[in-house]
Amino acid sequence: MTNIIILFCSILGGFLVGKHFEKREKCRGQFFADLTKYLVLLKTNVSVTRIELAEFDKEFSQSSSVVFANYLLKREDISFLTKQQKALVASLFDSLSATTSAQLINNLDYYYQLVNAEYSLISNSSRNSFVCVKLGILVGVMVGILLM
Amino acid sequence: MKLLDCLPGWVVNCIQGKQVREIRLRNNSTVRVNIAGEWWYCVDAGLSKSSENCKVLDISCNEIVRLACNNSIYVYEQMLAEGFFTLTDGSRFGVAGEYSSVGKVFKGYTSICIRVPHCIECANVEILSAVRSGNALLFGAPASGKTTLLRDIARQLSHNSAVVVIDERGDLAVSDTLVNCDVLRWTSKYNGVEMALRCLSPNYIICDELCADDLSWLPRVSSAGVKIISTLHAKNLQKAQEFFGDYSFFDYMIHCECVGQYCCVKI
Repeated sequence: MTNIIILFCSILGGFLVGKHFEKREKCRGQFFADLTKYLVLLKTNVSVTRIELAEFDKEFSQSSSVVFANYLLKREDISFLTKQQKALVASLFDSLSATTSAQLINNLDYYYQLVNAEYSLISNSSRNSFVCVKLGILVGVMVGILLM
Repeated sequence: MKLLDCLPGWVVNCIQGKQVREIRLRNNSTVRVNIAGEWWYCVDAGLSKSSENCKVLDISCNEIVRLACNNSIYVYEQMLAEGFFTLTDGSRFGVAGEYSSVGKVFKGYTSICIRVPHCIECANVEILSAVRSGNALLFGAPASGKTTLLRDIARQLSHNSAVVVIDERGDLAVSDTLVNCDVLRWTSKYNGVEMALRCLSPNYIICDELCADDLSWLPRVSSAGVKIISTLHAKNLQKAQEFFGDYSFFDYMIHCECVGQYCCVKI
């Protein structure tokens, strides 16, 4: 009886860990998809529409994913990103306080290339994210058997 | 963004609740404010007439401009190219610093002059009677209350006339003073006049700060049967008349010495 409970708990634990990593991958993909779109629309805003950044962020967040909206408006933690990705995002948002529109547009173009490249990599790897849950269950089974 | 949101906290504490007309900021220098026509220095405890023991501005003018523009300098770029920008509450920031004529941008800001608008009932019966009779020009030195008077004239005329206000710099129609006027904001006076005459059926057109370029469209307004009320930087009547040369356009010239002190002359 005890062994069955141990096995069940470890499988469940493995499943949850797998789900956690799958969710991280999904969040990462959503974040960078929105970030790519944000850079394109912000460039249009700076060139044509010209509404203030705070107002633009508020409008954009209404149609973006929750993870991106939370970061955009509240700078909530983006722990699902890697260290390099976090540095890229931080550097990007720092560059938005450029002194001229020409400089800002240059910055947006530069970061768009980097973000788009990163998004392509994330898209490729996220195709295999379903494996995380299966792998998690498998590891759970193995740990359960070892503990039995 | 409002004025008090972009100034350092200690400056806000000094000027809170006072009728500030002008604030002058300079990098690493004292902060001076004009309250009811008198200049004061900002100190730790409040305001002082003496420059001794004054607190020095601890934030750069670049940073103040960035805050005032709400981190969106690109929105105000066209205005900044002309040396100013206006906040939503009508406060007008005049900037100085290193200007690049190539890109028409400031590379950096070294000083800021903030003009705070006031809505004061100052147009008396004589002035209102004059502006209702013909074209009127308010003239005077800078900070003599011309725009404050113009704003009140627009407000009072709009009670029972069609008044179009051409608010080129965004500092005329502040708060809800001109709710009964048709306000054309951020457009040049020439464009504004064309739009007003064609689409808004005005009895009066009101605009601020005439310059040499405006002499071309002034006759058009008069020939359309619309009265115009405007302002001009001129220290006396002679200088004001010299501006228009041989062409006598305005029926009344109103000299503004300060808010509440006016001298109306029929031409």
